[in-house]
Amino acid sequence: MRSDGLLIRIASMIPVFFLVSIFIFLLYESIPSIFYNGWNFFTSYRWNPGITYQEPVPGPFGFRASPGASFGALLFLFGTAATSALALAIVVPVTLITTIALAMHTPRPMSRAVGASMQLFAAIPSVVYGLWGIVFLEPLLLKYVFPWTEATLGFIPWFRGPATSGSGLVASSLVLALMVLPITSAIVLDSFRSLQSRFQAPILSLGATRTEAGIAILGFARRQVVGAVFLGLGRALGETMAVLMTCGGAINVMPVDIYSPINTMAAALAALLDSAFIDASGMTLSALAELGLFLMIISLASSAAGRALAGRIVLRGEAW
Amino acid sequence: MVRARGMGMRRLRDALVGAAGLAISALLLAALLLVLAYVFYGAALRFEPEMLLTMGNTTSGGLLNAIVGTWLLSGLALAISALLAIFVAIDIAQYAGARVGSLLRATVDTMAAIPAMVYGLFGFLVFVIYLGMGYSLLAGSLTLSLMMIPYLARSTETAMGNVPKELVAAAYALGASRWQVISRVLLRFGRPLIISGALLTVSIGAGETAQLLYTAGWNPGLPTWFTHSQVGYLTYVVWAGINQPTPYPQGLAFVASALLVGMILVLLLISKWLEGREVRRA
Repeated sequence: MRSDGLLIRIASMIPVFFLVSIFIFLLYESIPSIFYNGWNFFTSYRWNPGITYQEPVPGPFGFRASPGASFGALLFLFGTAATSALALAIVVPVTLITTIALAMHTPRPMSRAVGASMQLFAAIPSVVYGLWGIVFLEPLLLKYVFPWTEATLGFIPWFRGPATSGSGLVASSLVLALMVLPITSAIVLDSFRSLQSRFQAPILSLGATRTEAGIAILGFARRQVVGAVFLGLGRALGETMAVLMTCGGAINVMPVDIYSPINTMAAALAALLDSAFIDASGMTLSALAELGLFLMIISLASSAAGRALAGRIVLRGEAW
Repeated sequence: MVRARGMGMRRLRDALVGAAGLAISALLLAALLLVLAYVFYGAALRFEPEMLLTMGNTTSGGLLNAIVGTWLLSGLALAISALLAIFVAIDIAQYAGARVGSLLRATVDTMAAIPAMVYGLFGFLVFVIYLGMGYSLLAGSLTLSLMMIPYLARSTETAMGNVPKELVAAAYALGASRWQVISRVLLRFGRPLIISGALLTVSIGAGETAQLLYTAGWNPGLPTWFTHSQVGYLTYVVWAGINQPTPYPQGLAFVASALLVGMILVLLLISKWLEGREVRRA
């Protein structure tokens, strides 16, 4: 390789170096917390930096933390899982039915326009969704939706209420669903269209209705559909601001019903990094690094699975 | 496929799925318009001229410092990430073999999937604390640039791939070196699409928050230097203002949101216009 190639190779390896260093750095920072908290990190929901104005005391394996410190992230893990699951429970059926309707029941120019407009969802910043969630969605939920769910589904303990705030699982998941939808629908619609020209006419000529043909073609594209769901999940797991603003910021109290405040890993990181400054032992920072490391691992795993199934990631704004 | 079911039932189901799908699509578009209209209408109701003309601290005063800060942060982040991303794209397009190429592509894809707050945490630990930059323009821009690299690398790679192969072959036939082909053919003819990708990337960077909370900080005035001088930015005003109990900070949050969304839509439209013009020409 000549010298110009060598210089370019050096420059192009800098992002690789950054990526590796993010992983190594977070791992290095997490080590005290990994040893101090052990499995407690995943099984306890008590997040307590301890008495930070007292001298740090040695804990398990000799790592020092403030007296009484304990860092359990179960509440945040649960919140991330619950918001992402509920968001996907909305996104998946909506994606499938709109794909069939747009590709099979709508004239091509109109469906293109609708598909492109849906991609605009991806361009709206996370904080703007958060603002909309706070001033529009939460009052709407509290005033109209939650009284109705309490009345009709109240026989199930999770729905009994009474709801005192619009923020929490439902608001966060709805906002997340709007943010994930452009990704999944772009991938699914795209792979549907790439198969449509080949299979539509033969299937219809067998006497299938348009919907049945759509379902069959989605069946041929199931790899991409599953991949799209994983890619959407990867995005939902890591979403920060919109969830931070609508989740209610729960800490040390596990949610008891769908109206309770919750918290997610990403939102907790944003909310709690402040508290690392007052903990001179550094254990809070280490525990937050462990939280960040775990968040990174699960969202990268989900995205990698999606990429393996659906092809390369569709980045925000790239789909139209 | 075709089950032994009444034709009427199947027709009915077909019509129902079509109608429901279209209704849901319409509902989604309505939700999108609702979010946009709500933000712009809310901002118009609460707008006061001094919000654009004076500096402020998210509870009083204006947004001028935050507007300038957002442009400084995303501009500097674009410069940093463009420098790196262009070399990644050139390497993939012209130098890398299969193994290095797939390593670089995997890096770009992986960086695109890292959560914003993880970048924020990394930037805080490395740039703010270990490298001692403090909350600052440089720390914020560096953190933001990490998130921008994948977008730029991808769009630059696509732009260079879009350059006609005949042009590249002709340049080599005339005795051009590899670097001359890159600089005079690939980058020049790919330029409109590279610029379009850069505008798209800035529009995404300007709307980010989580990377900046613990790297850029907040400044009621303007930063005085690249390090150790905090920067304000619009997305922070949205987050901090809307949680205040009084109307004026909430007004600032609405106006900041409208400014952000407006800026982003304008950048996106220019980006798409450039892209469309290129695609038509090709």
